[in-house]
Amino acid sequence: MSKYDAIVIGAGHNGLCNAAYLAKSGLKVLVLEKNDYIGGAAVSRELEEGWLYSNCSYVCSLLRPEIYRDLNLQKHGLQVIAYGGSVTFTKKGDIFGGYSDHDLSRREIGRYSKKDADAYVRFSRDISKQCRFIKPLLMRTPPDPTSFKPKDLNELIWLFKRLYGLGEETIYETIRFYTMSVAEYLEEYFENDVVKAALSGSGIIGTGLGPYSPGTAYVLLHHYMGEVDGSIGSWGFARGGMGSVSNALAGAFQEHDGEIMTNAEVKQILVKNGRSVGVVLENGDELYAKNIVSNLDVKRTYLKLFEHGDLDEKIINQVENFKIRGSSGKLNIALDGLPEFPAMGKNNPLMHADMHFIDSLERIERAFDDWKNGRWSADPYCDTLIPTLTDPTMAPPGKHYMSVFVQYAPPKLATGEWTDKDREGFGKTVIDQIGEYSPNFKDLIVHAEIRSPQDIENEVGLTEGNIFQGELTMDQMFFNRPFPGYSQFRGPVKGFYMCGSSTHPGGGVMAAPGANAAREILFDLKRENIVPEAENDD
Amino acid sequence: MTKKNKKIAVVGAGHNALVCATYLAKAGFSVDVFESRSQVGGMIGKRKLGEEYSVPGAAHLLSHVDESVFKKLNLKKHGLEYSAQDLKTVSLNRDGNALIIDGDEVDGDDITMKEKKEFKELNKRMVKLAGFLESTYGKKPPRLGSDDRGDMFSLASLGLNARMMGADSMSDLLKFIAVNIYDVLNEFTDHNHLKGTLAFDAILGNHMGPRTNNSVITYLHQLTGGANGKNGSHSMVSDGTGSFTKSLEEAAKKAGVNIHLNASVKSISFTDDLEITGLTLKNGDAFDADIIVSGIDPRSTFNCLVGPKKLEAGVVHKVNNVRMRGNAAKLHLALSSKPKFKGISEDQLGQRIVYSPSMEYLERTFDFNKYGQISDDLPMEITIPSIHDKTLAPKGHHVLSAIVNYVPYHLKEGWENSKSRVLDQCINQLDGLAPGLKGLVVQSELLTPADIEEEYGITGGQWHHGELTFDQFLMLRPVPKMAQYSSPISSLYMCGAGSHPGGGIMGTAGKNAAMEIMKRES
Repeated sequence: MSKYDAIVIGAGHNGLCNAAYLAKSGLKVLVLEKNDYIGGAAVSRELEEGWLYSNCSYVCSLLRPEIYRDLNLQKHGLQVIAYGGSVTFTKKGDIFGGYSDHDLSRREIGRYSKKDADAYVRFSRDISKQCRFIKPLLMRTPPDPTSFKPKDLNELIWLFKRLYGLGEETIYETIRFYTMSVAEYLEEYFENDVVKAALSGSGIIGTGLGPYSPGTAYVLLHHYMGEVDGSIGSWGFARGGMGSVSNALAGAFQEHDGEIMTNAEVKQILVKNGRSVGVVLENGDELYAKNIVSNLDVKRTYLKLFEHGDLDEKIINQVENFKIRGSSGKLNIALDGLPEFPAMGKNNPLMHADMHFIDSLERIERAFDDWKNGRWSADPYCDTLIPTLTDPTMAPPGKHYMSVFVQYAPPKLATGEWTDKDREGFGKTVIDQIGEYSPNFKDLIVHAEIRSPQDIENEVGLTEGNIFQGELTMDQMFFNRPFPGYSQFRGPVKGFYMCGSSTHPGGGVMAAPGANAAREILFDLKRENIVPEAENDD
Repeated sequence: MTKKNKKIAVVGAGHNALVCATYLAKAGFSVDVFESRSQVGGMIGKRKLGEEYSVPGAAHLLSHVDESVFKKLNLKKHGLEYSAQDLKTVSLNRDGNALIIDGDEVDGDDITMKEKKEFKELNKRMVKLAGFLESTYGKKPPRLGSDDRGDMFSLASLGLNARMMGADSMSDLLKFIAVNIYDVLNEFTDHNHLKGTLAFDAILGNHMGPRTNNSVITYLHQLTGGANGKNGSHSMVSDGTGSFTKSLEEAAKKAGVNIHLNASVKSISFTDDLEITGLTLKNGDAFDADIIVSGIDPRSTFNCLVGPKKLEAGVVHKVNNVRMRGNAAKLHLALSSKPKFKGISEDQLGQRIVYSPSMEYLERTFDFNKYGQISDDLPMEITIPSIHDKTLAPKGHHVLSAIVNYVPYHLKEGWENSKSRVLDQCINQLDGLAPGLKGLVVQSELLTPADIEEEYGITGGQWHHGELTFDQFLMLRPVPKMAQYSSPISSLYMCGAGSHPGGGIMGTAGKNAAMEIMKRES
């Protein structure tokens, strides 16, 4: 006799979102978490007294506003503060600012190239079109193109009509957009290298691809979709660090009598007669439920939690070939004061922005080459933020916290596993790069947490430390995510589901996969669908 | 006006242009072909090396041919002769362990039974996908978003074809089509040398490394067609590919095509309403025509023949963005006797010899190319055509023809002072693979991508008239809305490799263009 209707493995933000919807629908749900804190990669942790680190994910990227409103996350303490633009420091000692204000951005681009300022108008228009096309898909279940079921056929027809509705010109542009490299896509618009480098960054974050790798262009959307969403909450800081996102989702879950168990690592998923029936914990306890949902990535789920014989060889093969590539490291730095960046001047509002210290596509591509060859980038692409300028609660008064996301770092080095010395060397590379642009930066460091992809895997459980739970490339997107035939959140055994970023629409702190999975589970249980669809704004 | 009265001028006499011209002439049009060089065939054809030697110009092997075109034009009757068919691929590495690939069989270099089976499985699945690709080749790509019944039908049959492959193959297609060959090959086997050899086919002549996404399409493209219906098979044509060009020329003439050699076209002439009136040659001669078909690459067509001022800004922009980065050079050597390659027996010398020891090697080499530099160890496709064709060299002597990949068009240091250095480097590299070869060299030349641009008039020296990538493929080739062999200027058509289905000695683009012209102009 099982006590629960559903068990969700992993208390990451998607797991919690999924559980919240199941609980809201009236199901009895238990969430199991291996760590002694919840949140997965959306956490705030105090590793140095007085400082709160968002020590994994560091911004709300495209958190779905529908979910934010529907689960009343504001009431549960989540407050998202928009932050301002981006800035790129050039080798020549200048800066290039990116603003959320379109006209301001255009003027800044004009400082580098008049032609590019004009191109920016076209560029923004074209990208916005793509955003509007893709946005409603985030909160829908992808159809299975090989199936003849009415549900799938209807969805395919809907999709096809939508695509056709774009008109001939835009259809072609859409296909090109999804298959081109971000560098080549930008080269069709812009001539100035600083402009191109600054705009390309969002195309390579978190992925084992370089700016010249085809398939990176569409990642630009991530950056622009926030603008189109318009509503606060899609891109921004969570007040109190990223842990606030998880805590708010947990709050929504608990409001509907959900139960969370921490320090409860799942060892195995129990399968009986081709149906998942429960889980075994590391401590030997067995818990039963009719439905099991995994928030872990596919590799961890299928290769570690299932008994080998319970799965088909073909599935195992698909899982083994699923591409999860750790490519990013992270530095969390406690600072004794605010670092100065002379190129920017004092009190520049761009201090609140993402800072980047790499100003050409070739430099970024070379950073990628290092990764390919099993080294961390000697001249990395760093996405650097000082959240405490926006949210001072994260550090003692007058002190600051800096989050540095580093692209690229391999999960395993050419020389072998990461050692302490490697970690130190990696940290030094990053700190030196920032130090070049901020003379007092190094002296202000109170504490620095340096994390290799391996560290991220060990702590959070993300395979290879890949922040998206799997590369976001064409072969692993939409109806191919995580792999063909399993894009609708159902696993290969009955009663088993996936709800993490390994599923559609993929990584980022969106909470969309969790919500999408809940929709399918409720469908199977013949319950009313309570998961919101994307609002249509066109 | 009936088609009998319509005059067609074809620019360029490459193989696609000749195929197109011949089809049109057979259909009753009056067709004139204008070629700037003194012989037809474009990149295919015999080339002199010194006084006594001949080599195949740029292309040296026939692969993925469209047999239906060959048959329709009756090329065999007109003199096409193979000097060798169904060549095996012999892949070298530095240690002299050769790997031999013959269809779906592989042997050599300590390959195990398991790996042989893995290759068979890979081949089976890829050939199936290539078959799907090929099913789209023989007709014009549909326009998307149009209400035209023909387009709708064509698109629907594309979808249907994909479905008819069965769920597994359709999944394969969706999964593999936009990714890179590196990941795909790693899924199938661990044999590095085998993977390096296969990946070489994907990257040859393209601006990509094995890890570049889209390299699966190029691999599949290589597997389409094939002489004698054998996928991916290679053949050599006698007389240094000359018998192929000669047969095309004969077929064209027989059909009534007038071929003008040494007739370089300067521009297309228009009325004020942009109606075509004919073309002007560089020597000042003018020629009247109602229809112009361009066999040259899309960028040259619009920038040089039409002129950007006559086109919408958006069109000019798109055309200029067609990526045409050539990065394959051609090496020709005359040798005083047969070279001896390490690990290759004498009777294997006549096969297609490849140097590409591993995918990692290829990727590293490509990294140099990316930044406009040249690695000191370049991948090559080597043939010794004189083994099968004694007429190419004096008795006992031989000629070697190699495509050297990852030689960039834009060399950072400039080509002016680097060409002889790169030529020496290539010879030294070959000497390492075939000890003593250096001492046999009587004549040598290297055609860099810049030379190929100069000699054959292809922008960027890009063999395929535009890189074959997803965003320049099918209905996007060469640019959206022009994938149906037509252009914004009515009565101006394109028939070269820049159009669907792209490069290679297929003749399919020429045939498809001819069909479209017949339909629209009759």
